[in-house]
Amino acid sequence: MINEFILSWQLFKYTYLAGWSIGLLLSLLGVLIVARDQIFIGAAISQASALGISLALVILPAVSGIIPEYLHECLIVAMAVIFSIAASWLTSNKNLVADSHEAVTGFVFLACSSLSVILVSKSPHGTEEINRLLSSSIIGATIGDVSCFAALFLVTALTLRFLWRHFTLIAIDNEMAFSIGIPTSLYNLAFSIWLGLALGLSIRVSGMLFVFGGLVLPALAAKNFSHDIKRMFILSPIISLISNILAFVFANYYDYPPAQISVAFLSFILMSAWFIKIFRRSDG
Amino acid sequence: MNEVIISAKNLSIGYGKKNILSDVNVKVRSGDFWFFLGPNGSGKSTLVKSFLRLIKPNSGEVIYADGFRFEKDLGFVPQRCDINSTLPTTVREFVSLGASNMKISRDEIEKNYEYALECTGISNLSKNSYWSLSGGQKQRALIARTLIRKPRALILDEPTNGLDFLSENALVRVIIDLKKTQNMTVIVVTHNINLAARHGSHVAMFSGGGIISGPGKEILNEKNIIKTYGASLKVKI
Repeated sequence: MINEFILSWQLFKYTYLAGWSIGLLLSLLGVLIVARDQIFIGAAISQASALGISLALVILPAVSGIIPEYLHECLIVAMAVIFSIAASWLTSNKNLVADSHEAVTGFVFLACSSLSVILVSKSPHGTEEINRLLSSSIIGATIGDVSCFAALFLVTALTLRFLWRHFTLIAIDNEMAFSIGIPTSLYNLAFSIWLGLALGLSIRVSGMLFVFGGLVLPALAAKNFSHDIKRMFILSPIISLISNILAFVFANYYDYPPAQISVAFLSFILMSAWFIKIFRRSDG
Repeated sequence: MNEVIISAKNLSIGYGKKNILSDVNVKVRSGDFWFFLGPNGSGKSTLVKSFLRLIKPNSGEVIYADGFRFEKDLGFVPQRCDINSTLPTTVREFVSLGASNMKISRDEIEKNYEYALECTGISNLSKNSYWSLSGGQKQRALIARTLIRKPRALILDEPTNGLDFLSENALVRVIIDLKKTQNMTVIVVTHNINLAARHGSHVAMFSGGGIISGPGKEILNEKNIIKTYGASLKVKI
């Protein structure tokens, strides 16, 4: 199995590296999402990103004469990122709408899911693109994608290395964080933008399933294996990386779609963590 | 007379434009032990939030003493911490999070941490999971999380709410010891008039959008209690 994987390296190295980098990036951000207990934000932002892509696909034929062809892809990516950031901001800003986080998240998810399909329903290529995003495929990543996600991961890791206490305190007790002089609005805005950027870019490369799974499953598994939040920041990327390496080796050997295998592996790890916790509890 | 560290001057506050409290004037001096009393919705927590700058006054102002750094010198202990109950955390981590944003060395943070746990009597629970603590111990951990910053003044929002008799007594002991041994300025928001009568140097009674405040012995009389609660209550000292 390993030999087969090594043989495939030359052909799929950017796919593997991009997948691992995306996994590492999302697994770190996922810890804060899990700490905030806002897991479905990931799903809502993914759908918003799909809406951005749908809108770009609708706009493109109209502006194809104005925008050079090499910028078409940039427009699609930009729309995905803009819609992701907007959704991230909307779902995390509880003062904006007089309703609960869950209600806003549910609204964003449903509105964007329906609109993204409606917008491209008359365009055969658009429907194909949305289906590709929904089904998730990381095959076809480039060296640019690898560099981009590796850089995003490094910036995220370095930021959290120095500011994890600030972000954690804001996630669990925003009022306390504000009362000790942490500029909570600024941190929340920065987090919303960064999360939107990470998800918007990731979805274009790897699809919704891989992104949503990579965001919440490693952090949820890490939560069950950790006794404090700090350890979750360490365990979550480790779980993501190990799972994604095994998933890609397995998917390559048995010719399964790697994104789906990765999410299945992460789900298995989370389920195992739950069982271990239950056994420990019954023992102790 | 001790230095005034926080004062409310002609303060009107509320949520939006509607005032919950109007024209409030209070002076909290260093070493005072204040109790804020009044029925639910009378504005006790609102005044505390304005002290913490969590809400902006509609008119008037909150003034801090020169050199009083509100982020460091004013500690707030909420009624409870609505932390995600499935999130793993230890007492050490939970309390240490209170030291976020402090520009001091790790050694000093460690010293402050030990001081905070000692003051609250939970030194032996340092390695325990936060979720294994009883209600009273969780409340002490919340106080320790604030004390790690070594504040000059401490505001506690209904700290004994929901605690059983023994836990309540133990927690009150912690607060009184803090006041006595550290000469800390303490403001307690509570419904417990007896506690205020027994320990408070000053009392503020909230009702009808205003407050009556001053030394406890002058304020806690039958007339003010009837005005605040609409009923006469027997105060046990």
